[in-house]
Amino acid sequence: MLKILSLLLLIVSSKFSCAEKVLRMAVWGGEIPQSIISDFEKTTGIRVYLTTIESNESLIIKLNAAQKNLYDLIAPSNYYISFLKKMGIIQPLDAKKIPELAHLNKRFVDSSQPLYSVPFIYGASGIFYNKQWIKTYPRHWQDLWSQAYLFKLLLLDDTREIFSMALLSQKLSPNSENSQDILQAYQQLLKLVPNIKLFASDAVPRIITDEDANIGIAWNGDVVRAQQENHNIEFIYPDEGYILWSEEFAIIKNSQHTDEAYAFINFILEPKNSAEITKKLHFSVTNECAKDYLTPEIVNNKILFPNQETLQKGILQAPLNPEALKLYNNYWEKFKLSM
Amino acid sequence: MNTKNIFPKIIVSWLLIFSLLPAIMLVGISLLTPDISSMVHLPVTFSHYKNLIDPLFFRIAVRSFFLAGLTTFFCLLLAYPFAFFILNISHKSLVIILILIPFWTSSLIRTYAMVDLLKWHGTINNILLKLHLISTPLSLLYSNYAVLTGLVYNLLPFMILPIYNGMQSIDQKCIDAARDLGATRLQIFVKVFWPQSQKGVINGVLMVLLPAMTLFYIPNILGGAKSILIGNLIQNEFIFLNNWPQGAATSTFLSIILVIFFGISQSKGMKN
Amino acid sequence: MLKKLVKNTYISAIILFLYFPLFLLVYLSFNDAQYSNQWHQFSLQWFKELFNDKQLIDSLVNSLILAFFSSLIATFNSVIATTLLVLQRSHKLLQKFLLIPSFLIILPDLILGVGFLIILNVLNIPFGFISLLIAHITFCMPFIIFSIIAKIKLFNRNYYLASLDLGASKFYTWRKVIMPILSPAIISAFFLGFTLSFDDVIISYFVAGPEFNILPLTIFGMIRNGATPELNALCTMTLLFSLILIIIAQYKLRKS
Repeated sequence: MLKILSLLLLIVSSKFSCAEKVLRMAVWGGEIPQSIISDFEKTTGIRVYLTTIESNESLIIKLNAAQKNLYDLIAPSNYYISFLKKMGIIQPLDAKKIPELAHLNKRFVDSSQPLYSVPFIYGASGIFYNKQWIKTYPRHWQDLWSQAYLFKLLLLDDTREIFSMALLSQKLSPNSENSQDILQAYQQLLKLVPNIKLFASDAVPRIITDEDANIGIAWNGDVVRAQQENHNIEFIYPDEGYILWSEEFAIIKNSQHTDEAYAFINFILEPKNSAEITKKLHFSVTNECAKDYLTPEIVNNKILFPNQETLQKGILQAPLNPEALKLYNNYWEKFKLSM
Repeated sequence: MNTKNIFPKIIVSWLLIFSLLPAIMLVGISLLTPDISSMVHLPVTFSHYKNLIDPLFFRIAVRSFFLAGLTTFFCLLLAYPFAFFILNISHKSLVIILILIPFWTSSLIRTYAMVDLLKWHGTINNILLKLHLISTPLSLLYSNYAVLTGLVYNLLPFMILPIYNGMQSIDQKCIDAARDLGATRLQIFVKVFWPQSQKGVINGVLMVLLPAMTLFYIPNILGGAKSILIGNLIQNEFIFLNNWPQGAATSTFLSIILVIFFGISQSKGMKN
Repeated sequence: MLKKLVKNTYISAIILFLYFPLFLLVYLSFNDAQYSNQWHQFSLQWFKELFNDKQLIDSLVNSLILAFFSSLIATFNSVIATTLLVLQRSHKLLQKFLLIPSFLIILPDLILGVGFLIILNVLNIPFGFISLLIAHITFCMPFIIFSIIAKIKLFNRNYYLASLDLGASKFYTWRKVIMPILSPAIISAFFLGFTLSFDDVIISYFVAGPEFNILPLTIFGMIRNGATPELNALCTMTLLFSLILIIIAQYKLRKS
């Protein structure tokens, strides 16, 4: 009995001994392959503690509520960066410490000075459908409201994405802060209720591949993943516009591990490593040089890397003022409850 | 003399801090206003309780009670005969262990096991298609049917064991006496067995009804858009929407319902 | 004879219903296919992937450590508290003491979890191993207390009195007479607490922290992210582990 106890104490103490170099990160689930984390740990000797972000909002609450810093490096969505900047949670970045910055797709890099965040992946949401089970193909956002899709739709479980979709279907700006516009979008969404089968932001590739949902709104990366296993899946970028987002690295103010944070940012932005993200997880990466490490098939994939003309139609998610945000969240709650 | 009670007193204080105090704070927070940076702040408001009377919330509450009630009903329907049948069979201890195993294994894993069964290309659809009973697969997953099945599957052992225990403690003498007095088997069951088994039934119902409303991961994994139950609502309010006061109000409401149920069951138990 | 057939068929049907999904889960963990439910060929690749998954193994070890210490402390506390109280023969005191554990047992995990979230936040307790330990000890104790009390009631007080009559001190009696008699009950109560802590999802969901990942939450994350059959392999191993624990616990219980 005593032997077991002492063995356990040994194991426990080894877990709680402080590593010299440590990096505590909060990122969205499934955005960084385990292999990159392991490679980073092996190459630099820095121990990485990874937490999954549940939502941008809960991340902010956690960061505010914690007495001392919970994380060193975070990767929230781009439209949250200005919010974090204002609340004094993140620190300005030294562009000289990030050599790959020059190779990033200009569309997603924040040009304002000083730099506060670095995008490493981007994505877009469009309409997907399964050729085998869907007979009328959708072309525009408004088509999803059709009676043909009763109880069939998969919708992303994301306030901004769904409201943007509703706003775009009404030819309004997807980043609108106008209360009339938002109300109109909400009323449109109520009309969509009979068509909705489920909300999901995780497990989307599995749901699409397994054909548990055959039409709806999804992120381009997820659809490409699904297409690897199921060749009946199609994806379109509606002509009237669609949402673009990017995930940005930011370093927490007063972090004790800034050097480790920079090391990780640079490690991920290395073309070879960024290419790994695309290869393994099918996300579009911002580093254009990563394309040198990808097969022509992937580089020419119009879903992952849309051409200039299509990219122009995409609209980046923009930060909103608190009143508009509150309005969106209130309507979203009401919408979810009205199923 | 007093030193004997110090240790239990410490335990009681610990339990008080971590049970009574949170309960008080839960009610307290439900009356405050949410705030994006500091979780809650004054002013005091009853708006969160007003929201509970909102028809939207009411719908969810009704749906939750209905689903929980249905789950309890099916569990009872399946469990009562089962417990009755295993009272006098030969390999009783083996069967008991077989029931205990799901009881002790992770409920999460057992719920996940349902996914492969119910999905579009899942086992049930494959079997039905092979037998030509259907031509297109049934949309079983991500529906309230899936949630109901998942709940019944998870909670059935929780109904079987209390009912079985209740039946085991029925005094054999009463049954023998009734038989001696010339009662038929049906009469014995209706007049002696069934009433005396009620205590076990009530315990079983309690062990199923309340979890059926609060096991939020089951609708999370198996349910669709229309499967939001009270448990999910509370989960959403605390974790995703960060509206702690609203979550606290919903939790308080649920706790009150709970206390009512428990009170009813205790009084019913007293009557027997 | 028809009656017996009906009985046995019904019993078997229910048991089949309870076990079929689990068999399916285990069967798919040996299947050489990512998505299909059709049998392709026998493969241990998912188990290989499982054993190479550092994050997963890490969370498994964490869960074991957490369960061990929570149950240990909870059992220790419960045993001392209950034995001391029961031996005092004060029925009223015992009833009063048992009010709070009863209150805790009735509350659904969800309300407990939310309550812990609030109180741990207010007391500024760091979210991680410590918050989990506190929450797990607290919610395990009522179950352990009731489990021990049930066994104590069967305890023959005469052994205790006889030992005192023979001149032994209270503490000696407690150590050499009461504890050995109760030890099977204590061990099975420890296993009870261990299982409760190891499998807990809902309470842990609210009080876990970033640096201490536990298995149920890792599994929950994997389910929601649409994992590969590696998850099936994990489930198979966990089920095996639970099975072994139950058999040991039942065996010990029989011995008593």
